[in-house]
Amino acid sequence: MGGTYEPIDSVRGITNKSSGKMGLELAKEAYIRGADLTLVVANVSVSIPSVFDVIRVETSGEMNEVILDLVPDFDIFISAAAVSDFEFKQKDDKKIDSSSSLFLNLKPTTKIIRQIKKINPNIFLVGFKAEFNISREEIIGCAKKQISDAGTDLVVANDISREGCHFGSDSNEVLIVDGDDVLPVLLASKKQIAKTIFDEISKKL
Amino acid sequence: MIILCVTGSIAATESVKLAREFIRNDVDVKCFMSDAACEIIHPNAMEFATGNSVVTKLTGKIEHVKYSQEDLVLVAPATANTISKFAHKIADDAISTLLITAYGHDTPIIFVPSMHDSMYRAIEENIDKIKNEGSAIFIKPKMDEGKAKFPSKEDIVLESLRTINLNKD
Repeated sequence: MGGTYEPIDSVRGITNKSSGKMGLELAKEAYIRGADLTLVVANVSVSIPSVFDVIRVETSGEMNEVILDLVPDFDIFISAAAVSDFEFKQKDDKKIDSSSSLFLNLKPTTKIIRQIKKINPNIFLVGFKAEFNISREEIIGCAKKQISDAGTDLVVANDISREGCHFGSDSNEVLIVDGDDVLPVLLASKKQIAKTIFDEISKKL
Repeated sequence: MIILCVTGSIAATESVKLAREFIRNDVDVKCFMSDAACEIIHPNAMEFATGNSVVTKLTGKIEHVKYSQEDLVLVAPATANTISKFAHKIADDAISTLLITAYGHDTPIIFVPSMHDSMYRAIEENIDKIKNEGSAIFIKPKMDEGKAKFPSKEDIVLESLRTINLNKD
């Protein structure tokens, strides 16, 4: 959960506006329902209750390593993190001088979600898909693409350009996509959405 | 419904907000208070917070029986005295009597210990006795400034709702 941070040098880096709020609400709902869970936490703006087992990570590479280690031992994997799609080819361990222009060379990161089912084919995989200002059909298309690419069992897709649905918001409006079924969840608190997601997971387990 | 038992620790001042947090999570709360707790906060505060009258002593309504089979008995804050009496199944006031009635009915019980750390060490044997017989769950206090401090309300609510759900299965 949360957003990863990719260092450019020892001071600067690139990250995203993910708050970890949706991940935390899912964690709370899972805990209340009696699940034993581990949270893999990147950069978040929420405080994590002490009842949880937490593994802290910073970069998408670290997150990847930790997750691949955990996946064989769990029944459900929920990917609520905003993982960086790019990392730097060369990391500078000093602070880069700012007196001249700078060109950064980025390379795509390993897609964590695509590896989950390869390691544990029996795990129930829930993915998130955040897109910006596209039609409902396009969002459903993106969700279905994730299902075919990663073998996701359920995709929670949303358009973060919509009112009340931006990164860091307390509410969201989502589509829960599972193969041919699409369940729309109208604007609701992330707590309420977490409940609906777990109701759907329990139906399919 | 959960039964929130408030005993005489200064953390009783946290119980008002704790009760409100449960109500925000759609859980009804009925409060029992010990005499020592009533010295710290007035029962009116808990009556306001829960919207229900507060039980401070047992009457002909046999409150200890009436409320012994709800979803959960939560003792928060729990004093050394209350925990130790429960360890030995002593019933000499409304809360200790409710606790053994609830235990006899297999109603889940959670203690949130809150006291000076020397007292916490002194009653360790009683806490272990309860843990070993599995008669109640403890939410670990935050050890800070030489005290076994009240954990966050969020932790207490999460642990309570989980216990209720696990007990239903």
